[in-house]
Amino acid sequence: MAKKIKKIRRIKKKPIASRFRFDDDSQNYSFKSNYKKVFYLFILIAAYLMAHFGIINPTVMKAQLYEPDLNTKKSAIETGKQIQSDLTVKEKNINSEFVYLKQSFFRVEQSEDFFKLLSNKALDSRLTIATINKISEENYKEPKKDKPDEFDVYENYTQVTYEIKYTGTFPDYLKFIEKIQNEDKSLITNNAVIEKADNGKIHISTNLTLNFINL
Amino acid sequence: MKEQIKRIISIFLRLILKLFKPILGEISLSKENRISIELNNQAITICKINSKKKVITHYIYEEFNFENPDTNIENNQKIYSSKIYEILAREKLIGLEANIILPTSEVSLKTFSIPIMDQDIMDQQVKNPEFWKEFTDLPEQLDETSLSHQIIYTNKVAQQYDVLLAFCNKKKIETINKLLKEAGVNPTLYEPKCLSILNVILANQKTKEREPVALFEYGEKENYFLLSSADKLVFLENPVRKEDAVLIEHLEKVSDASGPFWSEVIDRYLNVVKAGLEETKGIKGFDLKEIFVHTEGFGKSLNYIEIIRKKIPEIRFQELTTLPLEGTSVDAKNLLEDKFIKLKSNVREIMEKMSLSKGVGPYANIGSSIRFLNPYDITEPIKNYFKINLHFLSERIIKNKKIKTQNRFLNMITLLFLILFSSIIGLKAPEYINKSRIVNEYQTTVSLYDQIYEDIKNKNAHIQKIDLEKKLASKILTDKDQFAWLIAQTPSIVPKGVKIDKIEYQKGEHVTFQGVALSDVDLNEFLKNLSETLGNSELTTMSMAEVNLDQEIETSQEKEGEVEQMTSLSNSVRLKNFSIKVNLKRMNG
Repeated sequence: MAKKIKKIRRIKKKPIASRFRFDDDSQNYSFKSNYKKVFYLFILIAAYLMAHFGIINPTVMKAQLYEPDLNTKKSAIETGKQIQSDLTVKEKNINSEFVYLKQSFFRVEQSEDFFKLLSNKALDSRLTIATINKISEENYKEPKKDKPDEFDVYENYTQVTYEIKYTGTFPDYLKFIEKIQNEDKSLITNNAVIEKADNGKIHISTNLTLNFINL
Repeated sequence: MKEQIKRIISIFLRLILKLFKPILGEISLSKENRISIELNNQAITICKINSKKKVITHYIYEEFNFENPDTNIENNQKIYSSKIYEILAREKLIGLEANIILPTSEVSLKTFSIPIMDQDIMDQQVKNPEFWKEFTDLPEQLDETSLSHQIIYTNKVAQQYDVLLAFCNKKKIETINKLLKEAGVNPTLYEPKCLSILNVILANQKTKEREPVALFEYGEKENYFLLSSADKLVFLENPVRKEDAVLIEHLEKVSDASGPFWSEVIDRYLNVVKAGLEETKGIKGFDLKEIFVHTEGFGKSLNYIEIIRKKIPEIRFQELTTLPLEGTSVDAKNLLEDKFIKLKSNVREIMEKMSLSKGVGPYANIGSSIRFLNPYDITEPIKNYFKINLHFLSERIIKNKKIKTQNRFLNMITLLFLILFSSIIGLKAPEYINKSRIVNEYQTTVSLYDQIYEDIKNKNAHIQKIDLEKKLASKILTDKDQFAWLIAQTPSIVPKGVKIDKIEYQKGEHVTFQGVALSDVDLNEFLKNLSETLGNSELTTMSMAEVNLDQEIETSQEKEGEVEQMTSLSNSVRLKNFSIKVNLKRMNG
């Protein structure tokens, strides 16, 4: 049996001098690294001062100043939310009430509605409209409380007065009046003259004031 | 201008360094882990002291015992370095810095005075070795000489510095430097042996004021007389002939040395002592009472000291020894017994053994191992009075050490500040996070608060506005059409016997009914109905009228959609015309 020959490895011994790393005094060390470190140190101190006195302390002081007000405001918000919710309901209600009221007015931008209404109802009631004349148009006004001679003028509300003449029977006129009433529109008769005519008919001459709204 | 700026910067930097000197000095000293080495062709002596505890931890004396007796340091550096490495590795002293003891015989020591000058100027001047030539004799080849100086006294009256200048051959130091670096130590400090011994003697002094010291060294190689006071140093070489040295060695073997021959030999030796004593005689602070005698290589020196005591009886000659003095009659001085420095038990044994067998004293090694480079010149654990460093790069080493120390200090400060600042920030962080949350929350809350209350305000304003509009609209609408109601009521209030011909209505004023009634009864009924329904009615006119039957009179009444014919007459009938005015003002009221 052949004998296994063990390989001998030659380990190269390092020279003694290379095992130690002494200061290389053959060269002058540079102060640059020291200046660099001083610079870093200043940066570090500056960063700390900035963080401490520029961010942390002001924030803490601010927080101390704000904290009582914050609690007050938080509870005020809770109350405010409740008030807000109540007001929303109130607003909704008052809006719907106002919308309902507005329906009784004619709309300025739809002034033809009045003629449609009048003619339709007259036609339905077999009443003949003889003439329609616009007499006046002006904003709604009220005398001032402290100066009764002067008036508060409300531009959103306009009052238009028409002179209208009809011909028909009295029962038809009654029907007409009833139908108009059912429409629940703001129509006010300022004056009227109902006169008997031939053939059982009557002539009706009225001055009607209509309320227009611009809202 | 440029020079001035440089000078200002230099002063500023010096001030800064002065401010940080204690810290920097401490850092620098703490990093100086040193051993002392005395090396010659035959043996090496190593000593290590723990300066803080003032304990000698290592004392090694090892002979090389090379087979070839001609082996020397100059020619066989590798052999030496390898051997020294083995010793250092065994004693675990590798990588340390080393203070090298140079034989006094190889170093020249000169003392002289120079005028006082500014530190900067002095630093600039000494950079040039030629500067010293103005004050003392120096070798011609200064490039091959290593110089070191120390101001030992500043005489402000005479405006002079007393300077000690040491110089030696640079090549020798270069050789040892290379050799020891290869062996695993970094030699950064070289000092003459005499100053090492002198430093130990001075370190041993317990008095507050520095006392004068005299050291008389004799032996095969080293022969000098050294005198030192607080402000003066006198170094006198003793040029001993080889034959005299052999005779002195032989003196210890002689039973009777009282003859004139020996007296003459010793006189030749003592010439230098006498000269030294003469030189310092009368100088303030130099009243010597004793002279330390130190020798190496001769073994015993009892006879020699005995003779010199007789020659100069007024001075006490004390042999420096490391052997225990207890129970002996020998007038010697063992500095180690004064316990200014402690010894490990094995160290004492080695010292005594070496002293007995080889005649080797440890004082130079001890003196050298208490030396530090001490670049910031702070107070050392054991004070060193003489700080000569003959390393040819000593200035650069000091400068580099300073840079390294400052670097280390800055690293330390930066790290310290980093830890300190991080800790402060870290400790403050939870509070800061909490507080910043409050600040942020406050901003959001304020904005929400403002928003809600703005909304409330707007809503209120809107509600108020709508309410006003609503009230106005209601007011406008309240004005109901009275006429429609009136017309609607008319059929029900007009009796069957009444016929209405005309109705005139004036809003809020009145309404007038004109017509005919069949009878007063009918008219009355009509009036009654009017009063009940509309209010106050007034019959304004009434007259009789005849109506032709051809003329058809109709009164229509609409009741639940049914129209009834009320009256139909023929021929002519007598009727009553009427006009009734109804006041509507009351009705409105």
